[in-house]
Amino acid sequence: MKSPCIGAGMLPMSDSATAGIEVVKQFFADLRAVFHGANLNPYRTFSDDVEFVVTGQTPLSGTWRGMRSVMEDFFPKASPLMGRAPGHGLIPLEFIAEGNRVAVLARGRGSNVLGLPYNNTYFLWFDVEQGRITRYIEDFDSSLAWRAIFRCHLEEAGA
Amino acid sequence: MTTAADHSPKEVVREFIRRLNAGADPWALLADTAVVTVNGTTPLSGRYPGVELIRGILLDSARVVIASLSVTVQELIGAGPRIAALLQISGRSVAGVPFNDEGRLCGCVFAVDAGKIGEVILFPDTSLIEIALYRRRYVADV
Repeated sequence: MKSPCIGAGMLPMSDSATAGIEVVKQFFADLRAVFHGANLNPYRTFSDDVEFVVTGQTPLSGTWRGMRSVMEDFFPKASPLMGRAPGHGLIPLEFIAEGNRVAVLARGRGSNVLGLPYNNTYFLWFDVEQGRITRYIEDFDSSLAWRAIFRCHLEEAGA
Repeated sequence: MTTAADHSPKEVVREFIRRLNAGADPWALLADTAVVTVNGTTPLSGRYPGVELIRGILLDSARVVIASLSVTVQELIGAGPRIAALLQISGRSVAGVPFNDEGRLCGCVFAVDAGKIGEVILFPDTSLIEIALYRRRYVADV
């Protein structure tokens, strides 16, 4: 496994890239704390007017504009579908940053509401402005989400 | 004459995508030992180490289901050898089904060394691959 923070390689990162990575690392730290029982908002680093994108064709895929929409429209649908157990979380493997943009490769460990494993692999994209995340794109194996979270299987479309 | 700037990792990635769109053998820009990983659980997903596997399995498998492909770079970041991209990948399946006309984005990471691409990690829309390319649908288990 790669170290958790591979920056821009041979060239020094700009101050803004370093600052962006720190904000994103704080998001992962907050998530980790919540998974360990802390009572805090893991999305406190997100801007009120964040653009929040979940890729794929699932019932939870889409774009939400503003944290209020995320909290009122996305999480109430997503949370009941997910399991909760010790050891769940999202682990960043690599950060690639430039300017105010940060990409993260990450692995998740989770479960569906029945406790069956849901371990996905993620490409996460963050735009960071003035210390807040203003764009978040969650790209992952949405086909796995269909099967694990929505408890579906694949059939031929004509079947 | 070539310059160091011609071989900058970002420029190599842009050239790879230019060739991909032009059908001009972008795979010649891969190092012999390159590894391409297609994230997920689709028939195209997997880790393909080496040009022989990339051409012989991944590309040949893709040609069975993809008739045309267009890739647009929306974002490209990274000051070093590893580059992250947000891409729009759209096209048409061999069955004539267009995919990603909406222009949704997907992530990709490239590693570039000495003007050659050594690694590609693509995060495609895997449910769209199943639906549009393999003409399958998701059906509730119960």
